[in-house]
Amino acid sequence: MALIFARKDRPSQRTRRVTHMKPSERLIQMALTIATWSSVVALGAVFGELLLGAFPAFTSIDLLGFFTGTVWNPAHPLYPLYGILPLVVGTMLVSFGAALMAIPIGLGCSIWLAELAHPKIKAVFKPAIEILSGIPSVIFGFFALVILSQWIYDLLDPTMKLNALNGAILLAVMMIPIMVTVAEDAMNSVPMNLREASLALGATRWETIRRVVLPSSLSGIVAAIVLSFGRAVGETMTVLMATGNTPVITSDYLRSVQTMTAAIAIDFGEVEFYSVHYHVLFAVGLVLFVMTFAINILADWVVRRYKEDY
Amino acid sequence: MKYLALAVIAIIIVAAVGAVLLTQGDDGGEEETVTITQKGSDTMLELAQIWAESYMDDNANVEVEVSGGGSGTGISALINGEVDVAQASRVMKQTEMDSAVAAGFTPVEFKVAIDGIAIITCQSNTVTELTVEQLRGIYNGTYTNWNQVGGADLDITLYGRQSSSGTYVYFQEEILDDENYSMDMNMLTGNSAIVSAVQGDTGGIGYVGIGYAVSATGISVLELKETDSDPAFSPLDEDSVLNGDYLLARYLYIYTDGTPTDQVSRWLGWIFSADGGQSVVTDVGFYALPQSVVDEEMAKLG
Amino acid sequence: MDRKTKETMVFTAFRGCALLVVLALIVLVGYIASGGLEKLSLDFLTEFPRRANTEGGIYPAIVGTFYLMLIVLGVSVPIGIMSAVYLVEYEQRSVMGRVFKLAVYNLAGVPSIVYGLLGLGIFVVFLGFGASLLSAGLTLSIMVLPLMISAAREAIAAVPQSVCEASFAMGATKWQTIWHHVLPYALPGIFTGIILSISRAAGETAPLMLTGVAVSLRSLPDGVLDSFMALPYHIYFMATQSSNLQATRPIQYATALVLLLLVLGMNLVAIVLRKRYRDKYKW
Repeated sequence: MALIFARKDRPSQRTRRVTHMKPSERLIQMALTIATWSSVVALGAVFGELLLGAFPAFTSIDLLGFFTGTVWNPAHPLYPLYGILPLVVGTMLVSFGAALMAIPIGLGCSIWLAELAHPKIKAVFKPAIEILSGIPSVIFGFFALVILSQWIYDLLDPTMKLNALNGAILLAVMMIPIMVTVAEDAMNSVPMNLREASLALGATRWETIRRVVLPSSLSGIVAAIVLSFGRAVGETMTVLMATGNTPVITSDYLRSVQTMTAAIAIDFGEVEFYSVHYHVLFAVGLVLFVMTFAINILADWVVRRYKEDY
Repeated sequence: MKYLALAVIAIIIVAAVGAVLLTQGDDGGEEETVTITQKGSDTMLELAQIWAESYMDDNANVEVEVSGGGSGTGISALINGEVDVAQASRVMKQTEMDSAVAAGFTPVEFKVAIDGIAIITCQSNTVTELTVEQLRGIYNGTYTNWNQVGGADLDITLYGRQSSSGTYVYFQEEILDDENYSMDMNMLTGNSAIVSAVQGDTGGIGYVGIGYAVSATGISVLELKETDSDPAFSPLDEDSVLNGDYLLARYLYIYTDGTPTDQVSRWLGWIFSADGGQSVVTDVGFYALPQSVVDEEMAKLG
Repeated sequence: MDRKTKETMVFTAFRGCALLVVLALIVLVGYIASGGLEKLSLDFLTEFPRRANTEGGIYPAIVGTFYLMLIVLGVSVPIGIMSAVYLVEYEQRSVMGRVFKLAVYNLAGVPSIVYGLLGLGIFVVFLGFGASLLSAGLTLSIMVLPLMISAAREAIAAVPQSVCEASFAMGATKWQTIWHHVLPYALPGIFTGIILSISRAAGETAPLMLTGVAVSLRSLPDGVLDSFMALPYHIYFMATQSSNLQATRPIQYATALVLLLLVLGMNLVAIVLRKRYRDKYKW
């Protein structure tokens, strides 16, 4: 995940402009170029495919109703309603709830990791975080469905056993590794001499962290928050299994909601190919893609604009 | 360089194992394997899967692939020629029949089992029986609190199926008299989703095939009565389902695209047989066809 | 309260955060392990499911996941390495380089369900592969491509300039330098990336759901255009759709455990590999 903090572009010492290339070299260069283009093509394909699939929806349903409608009931045989708001609210409820839990814990963890941890403990903890980030989302979802929902049920007596809180908690657990990795990276790139100067001036370690390290690595921390939030918004399996799949507009964490991702996944099982419902699902996918794309660009921009050059 | 060697060896091993496994799949080499594809009702899914397993145990050269999606989805697939057989928990609508004829065939309907749709509530709910009018009122949104139908002061949460479900359609016809469901109903995909939801919601109510209610814990099955003064019947009582006293007793169906082929005929024949398909039916919690019905259906196989 | 006390309090809170995270990991793995251990046996891993998943094993799901990993291996590894080589060695400051970097970066952030839609539209429908191993495998390959590319890039970029310069000084061409001097040193890092990519592909469910993974099959797929089962989807289906949740619960746990062990195992190997490589090549 060190994509953002990857080594800056080296000057072109490595890329000499070669005027005479053997034919075989040229061939290889072409092959490599084609391979690299595949990523661009793939991204374009994602966007294009979504547009293609969603376009018929735009012409056959009330577009304003789509974006502002408060009822999502696309499968109704007589009066289907395609309002995306309940899904957006569901996604936001769960993601923001998760962020509320993940940000303090993730930050606390990163600070501990970057500034306080004993190197030997660090060597164990960092792999542990990596392992956590490698766990498949369906397993988080399974845990939420079977175990966590029961705990919430016993402790808080919710209206419904599968609810937004269930999803938010597990989503927070999934967000934390990303947050920790990126934020810790950012804090580590603050040079030692800044810290030493602060300590030399009589500040305690905490004051040093608070007033020197954190502000200097702020861009990285913000990027960490934004990126992990993007992950939460795009998560499918965990919320599908944990939140109960009921598209409603609510702020009650103890009842079922449905996220955009879950709606697409679940409806696709029964949707009739090329029906209006089918195209509307693509439209939801498009909205989702635009959202996560925007979040990603935002994270990238924050880093570019505010990163301190040491 | 040691790493390079290691990497190459590892990849070769992986590829070799993969190749070996790929060739394992080819064991239907001598006799031609016949595949029957079946799709549709989610209520019938577990039943159909166990039918398929048992049938395939005895018939090594036949492969029966079963999938769900709802009765409507299965019937569509049959009309589009995507599957050989559709399983449905309701009869085909006239519009679907017309589409099939337009596509070039006349579907043949076979009754294969009997279901009693169970109305389930959370185990903690004090209500044990409802009249048809009360059930209708609950599902069309007229009643929103359990204390309006003889229970505690608790909001009613409605759980039902998605619209491609045969159970959804059947329930709408029988109980709602073709009116609309309440807008507040949570449309869940699958019987087990409804069971789970009701288990976890003290005010919940849902409808599922009896096969799903029988094996579930944490829920109660309500008894239904026509009006307040009539006796109430439970879907768990075989007699009341078979002689129609239980109001939501219904047949489960299989549709073929025209007269069934040889292989499909044998499959259906097995389903009708008392020690084949019909014995499995009761294992799963549904009810077996009476002999008179079996004879009728067998005659259609021609 | 004086500054020192404040500091101690705050630091304890931070340590607490770290502890919480470790706790979460232990709880998660612990519950899955304890729930699934009893069902785990050689039979379980080599038998087909029976009685609608209330008995039997998960063999076809394991094989399906394995095949998917194989396809991802075959497709995303070459493309990923080639792209990484290109990005590091050939095109650094140009506009094209930046476009590629941006494309890779954004591909990494696309939600998995959107990849599912992509797979559905392009592989299942447009190219006509249908609901098959190929459609799902190709979709997963695109999904892990950014991962592969960034891991390979890091590994290649870590090889120092001096090696390249020495090679050029001896008269080698660009490609000779890369093939004989850069790639061999980058190989362990690339290998780590491969393992991480495949383990990611093994654990994904959403793309499979849309490209047609099957619920229950009686035979193994005998070609790439055949339908297949997979571990993550098997868990999802049993946990949400099986008719007798009580009866299938032990199998759900056990399947989750198998998937967890598979993915964790691969991740651990990757981590260990990376550590040894870093210790060895302290440039």
